[in-house]
Amino acid sequence: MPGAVATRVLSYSQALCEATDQAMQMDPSVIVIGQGTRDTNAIFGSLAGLFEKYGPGRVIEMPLSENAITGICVGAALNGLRPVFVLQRADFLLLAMDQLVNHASKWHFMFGGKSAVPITIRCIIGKGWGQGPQHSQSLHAICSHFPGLRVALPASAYTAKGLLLNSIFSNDPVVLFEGRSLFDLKGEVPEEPYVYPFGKAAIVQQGSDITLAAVSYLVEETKKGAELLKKDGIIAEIIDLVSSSPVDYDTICASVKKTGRLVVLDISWEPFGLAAQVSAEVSGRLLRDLKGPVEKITLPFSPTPTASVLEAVYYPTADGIYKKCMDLFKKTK
Amino acid sequence: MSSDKSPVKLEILRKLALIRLVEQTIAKHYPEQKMRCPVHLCLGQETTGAVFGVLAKKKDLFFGNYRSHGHYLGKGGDLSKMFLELLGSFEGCSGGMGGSMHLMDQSCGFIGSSAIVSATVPQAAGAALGFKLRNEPYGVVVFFGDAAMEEGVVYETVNFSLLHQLPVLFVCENNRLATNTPIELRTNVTQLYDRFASMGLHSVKACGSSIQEMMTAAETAFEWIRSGKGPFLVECQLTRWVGHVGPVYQGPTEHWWQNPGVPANPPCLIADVVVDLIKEKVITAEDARQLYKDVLKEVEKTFQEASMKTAGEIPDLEEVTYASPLASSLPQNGNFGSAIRVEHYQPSKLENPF
Repeated sequence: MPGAVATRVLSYSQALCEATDQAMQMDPSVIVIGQGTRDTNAIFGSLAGLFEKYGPGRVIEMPLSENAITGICVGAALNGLRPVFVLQRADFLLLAMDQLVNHASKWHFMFGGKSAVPITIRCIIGKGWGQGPQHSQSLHAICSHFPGLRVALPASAYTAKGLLLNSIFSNDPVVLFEGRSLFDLKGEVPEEPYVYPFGKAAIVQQGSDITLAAVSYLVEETKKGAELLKKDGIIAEIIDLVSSSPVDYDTICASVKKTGRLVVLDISWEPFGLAAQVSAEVSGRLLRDLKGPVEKITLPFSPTPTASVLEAVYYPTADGIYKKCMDLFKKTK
Repeated sequence: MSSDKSPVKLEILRKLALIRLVEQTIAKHYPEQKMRCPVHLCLGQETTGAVFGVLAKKKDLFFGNYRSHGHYLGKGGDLSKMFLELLGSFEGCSGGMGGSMHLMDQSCGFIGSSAIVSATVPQAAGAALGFKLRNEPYGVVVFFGDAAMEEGVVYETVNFSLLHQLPVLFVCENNRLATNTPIELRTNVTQLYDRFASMGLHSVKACGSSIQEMMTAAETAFEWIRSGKGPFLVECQLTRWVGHVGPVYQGPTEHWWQNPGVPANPPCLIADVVVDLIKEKVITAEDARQLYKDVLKEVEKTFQEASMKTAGEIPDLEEVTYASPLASSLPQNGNFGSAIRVEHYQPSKLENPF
């Protein structure tokens, strides 16, 4: 991260677009491939103007062949390109698991470190407006299970730009999970290109009483929950985990040593997921520092419902976060 | 009499002899249990690696599958490093991490091979996209079996390759077997070469034991992909002389070097090339026998040397897993003055957020 630099306010999608544009300017081997790259809104604004600027050779519209396109990105990467593959919904990544898991993630290892696959896969997680069971999953937990992949979930315009640039110029395959509901979220973004590292959590708000470690769109909701806690005189430390492979346990643990309490908030289901993983690791490391059990806020263990009244009870809210924290305080008086 | 094709044919003969004798050497030593990985030998199928390997340019790229000793050697892959890889040495062509099913030698353009049927097919198209975007005059060859034609990703790749006119050459090695399941149990249409004709994919079929047919097919295919006309498919009809995996030989008992100049029955491509070259007076029967002895001696020597080596220092497995540190470096040649202004993008005013 650069020192004193000019920043201005951009939306999350503008930040993604600027990162892609700067990467393409810096390096002619960077290409973008996806479905909807030439639509008027160019993947929710995240590729706005890039087709007009770079043309069909570098902004490639794709047939609906997710597994082949992932393999094509692998092969292109093996022959000198740095492809950025955009999936309008993360759920489509499941069609590409052979190329992602059996090939991209293992290639560098399988060939003794002599060859690398620098690909970036941008997966957009739908949320709200009835996106339903097959348009709103985040697959960061399963992706993080496999050695060889880097996995990150930008929650702000600042991390969106830095993570995307880091992904594009990393020689490892990277899967980014972007929250569709965050695309209009605004924040300070430096104009110069910069990288935001993997495995580095961000302290969003400092506090002393409880640590709230959240990811993706739950970071914003956690901020609201923390405002409610303030009324009870509780100052929460909010951590944006930023990446799930690797997880920055050091930052979480440093905070928990101070607060003695931890709630982990994940945008997916609990079993074998990020919240369970963080809970297990921190519990093991800080057995003596924790004042109570690590609490988890995750999605109910059902597919995402479509009806808006059901969505309203499905997704974690500031109220729910507040209640969970207050329960933990009762246990740890 | 010798023709302008004779030198190429002689080179193909040398490759064929090398590949076959390497495979026979592996089969011979496999029971010693020093090579502790599955081996899928290409005995009887050496033709594809040898013919396409000799006719390719050095900078053309090859992708293989799990039965790729022949493709690797055909392209010019280092034999000693291949043996070391099979023997589990960290000095092997894939650092000891891949074994027989994951060979690579970047110095000769053999990019890699996979244990998942059909998976390198899209990868080859992606590599071809690299050549196309950089306007480089090279092509990419990918070898896969008849069963790969049943995988959806091959259809997806053919479609993309045609759409973008990619210089990729699909070589389907049709031995009519998927492990040991015959093709008739897997598809109603056992003629494969024209399967994608309705999409516009140009293709030919060739008998794998005929040097004439194989050379003509390979030359036609290379000329096609190099002229910017897009992808091409060659179906090679082959017979596998070994079990799906392991060293059990099931081929003919008569060998090409025993009676040079006499056509083999059942057919054998090496015997066919030798017949041609003797007829063209490029070599004699004695030359063929000598070639066998020389190559066998060299292969055996290379194997013995490789098997004497120790595996090497144990590497840190987690370190081999990733190529880059957690923070990457940006290229230093950037010019951002003309970065496009993204502010002109107006988010939808509708509440509907998708």
